[in-house]
Amino acid sequence: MLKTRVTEMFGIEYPIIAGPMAYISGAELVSAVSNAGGLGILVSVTHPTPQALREEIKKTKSLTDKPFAVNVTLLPTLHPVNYEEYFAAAIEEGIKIIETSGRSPEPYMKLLKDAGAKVVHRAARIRDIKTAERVGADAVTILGYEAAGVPGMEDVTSLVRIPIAADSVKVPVIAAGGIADARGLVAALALGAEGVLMGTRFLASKECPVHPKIKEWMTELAETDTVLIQRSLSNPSRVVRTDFTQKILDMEEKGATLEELAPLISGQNRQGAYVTGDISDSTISAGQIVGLIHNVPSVKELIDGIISEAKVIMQRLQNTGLGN
Amino acid sequence: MKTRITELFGIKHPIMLAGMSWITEPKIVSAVSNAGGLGILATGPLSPDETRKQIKQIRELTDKPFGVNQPLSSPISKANIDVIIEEKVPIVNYALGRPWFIDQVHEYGGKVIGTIAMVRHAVRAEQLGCDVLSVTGHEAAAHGADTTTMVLIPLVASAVKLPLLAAGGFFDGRGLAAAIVLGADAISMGTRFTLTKESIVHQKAKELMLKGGAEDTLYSDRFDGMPGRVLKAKGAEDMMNKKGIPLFGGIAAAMQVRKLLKMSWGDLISSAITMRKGEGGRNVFQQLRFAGGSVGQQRAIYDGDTDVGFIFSGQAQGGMNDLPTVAEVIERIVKEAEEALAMGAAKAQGAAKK
Repeated sequence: MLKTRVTEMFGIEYPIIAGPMAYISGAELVSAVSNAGGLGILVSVTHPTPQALREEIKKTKSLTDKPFAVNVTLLPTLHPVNYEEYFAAAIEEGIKIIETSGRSPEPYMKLLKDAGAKVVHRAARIRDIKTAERVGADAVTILGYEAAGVPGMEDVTSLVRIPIAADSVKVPVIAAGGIADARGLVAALALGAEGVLMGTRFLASKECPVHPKIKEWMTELAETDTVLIQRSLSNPSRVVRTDFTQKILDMEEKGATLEELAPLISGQNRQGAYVTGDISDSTISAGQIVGLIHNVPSVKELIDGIISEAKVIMQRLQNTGLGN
Repeated sequence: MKTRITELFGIKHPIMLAGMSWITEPKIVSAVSNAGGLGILATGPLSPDETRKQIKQIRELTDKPFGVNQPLSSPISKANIDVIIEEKVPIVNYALGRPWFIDQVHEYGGKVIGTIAMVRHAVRAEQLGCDVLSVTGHEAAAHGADTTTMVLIPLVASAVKLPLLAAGGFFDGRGLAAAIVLGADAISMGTRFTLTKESIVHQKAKELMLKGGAEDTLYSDRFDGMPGRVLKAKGAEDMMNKKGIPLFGGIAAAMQVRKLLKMSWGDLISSAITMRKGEGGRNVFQQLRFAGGSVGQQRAIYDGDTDVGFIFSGQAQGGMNDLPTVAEVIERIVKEAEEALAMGAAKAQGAAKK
């Protein structure tokens, strides 16, 4: 059921992928997603050294024998990162699926392909996924405006993006942004995607390692409770609207520089908030779909629920004659 | 394709023409209805006399169900609604305000569509007695809020029992299939029908919209006083960049609007100073923007001038590259949606056997 080129290529049961979330997507969550038939993606460059990434991969392998992926985010950071070492660590540990984002994976493509890895590139513009396909990506993920994380400057929504993406590349398209249940999954497939990537939905799961207060908070938020910050830096980020994020928006309005904003938007703040549950001095990412999230299930309950509900939807289409 | 909406309205296909000021005139309205969809006449920019005349014209061109769209924020909405009820228009779609006429429409067997862009407005419209809701996502031309169609449709479908028209971002059969999966019973399209042979929009403006990508739109409340999305072009960009309130241009435009709607000076002044309350509430500055917007839109629609004027356009423009007839649009969308849904149903059958 629900076999697509994405499930075939990655050797997974369901076309459901857990988006890599900094400080969250470690061995526990990633193995839970892969064990439940989806694809977990381990974050890498938030590990201080490639050796630390190796340890996390080993730990994940001890928790699952199913495929999982490693993400390498190719974005400028305050401290320069030697990406090649992170890619090498992943490959040497036997990882066969690499997700890249932030910049074209071209410089590393030969290294990855020679090692027999499948490369999936995630971007927020059609021209970026076309470039990724041209330089050898095996699949692409397209982000919609409603997504958490970095949905790009073009503001195009998933409903419009997905079919245009599917028409723009021959490799399979994975949809990200605005999906948290079976309706979203089946709709994305109808629009031309062959898999979905969800972040916010997995944030509110039992295996997600953030403080329970933050997960509870996610179940209470409405779809109107998110906002884009960092637009003035040409790097918009969708976060939950709070007094703290309002402070950032006010500073941006007054023309604050990256140096002035950096202490407020740094990843370290967020890492701390995830541990303590105190969100008073940190931004927390969430997509608009947070309005549809009302519980904190285990990853297995979540994925099983989506799949059985997807079957119900498709049966209903058939019973009502819409699918004839 | 049979859905609750095709049954309720007595139409063949679950596709509605979104009411668009100046664009959805009797010819295109009847073309959509004749092709099995639901045509909607935009009565917002029409005087009551003109409203009656155009309703009669539609009836000469089609014997199929059709509707009207009337924004209740307009100063002449009351007079227009009176005409609409006298003419017993089968489907009345209102936006931007609180309806007072639902019972009257029901009395002659008509149906009422409320237009909303937020979940709480959907719940209220259901309580007020609407028959159907048109749910507008962020990607729409006008007037969406911040929540996108993918997110908003399932949320509203979970919050109300009414059949839903999904609006914003639709241009092909994949979208119609997705809308039905997300919980809607039909789709409403504006930009797709603007880009058809029958649409009266100037060829130059059509070509610019066809050339534009999904990312080539601007979203702001500067165009007509409410958050809306327009084709990215010089005129629209100038409006975005202008600081302050378009006072002089707005007042000049308000004079033109008065003439257009055949309003008395008293009506004009009282509408301009009324700080309306509720969803449709617009203050005096928004009213001025609205007036300025009316003039700007007509320049783009009739003259193809997007250097001074502007035209509403949804992100869906990025998915279109032709100017088919209205009938071709409807036929191919239905066919494509049926194929997409049949594929899903076949998969379900396979899964059930497992």
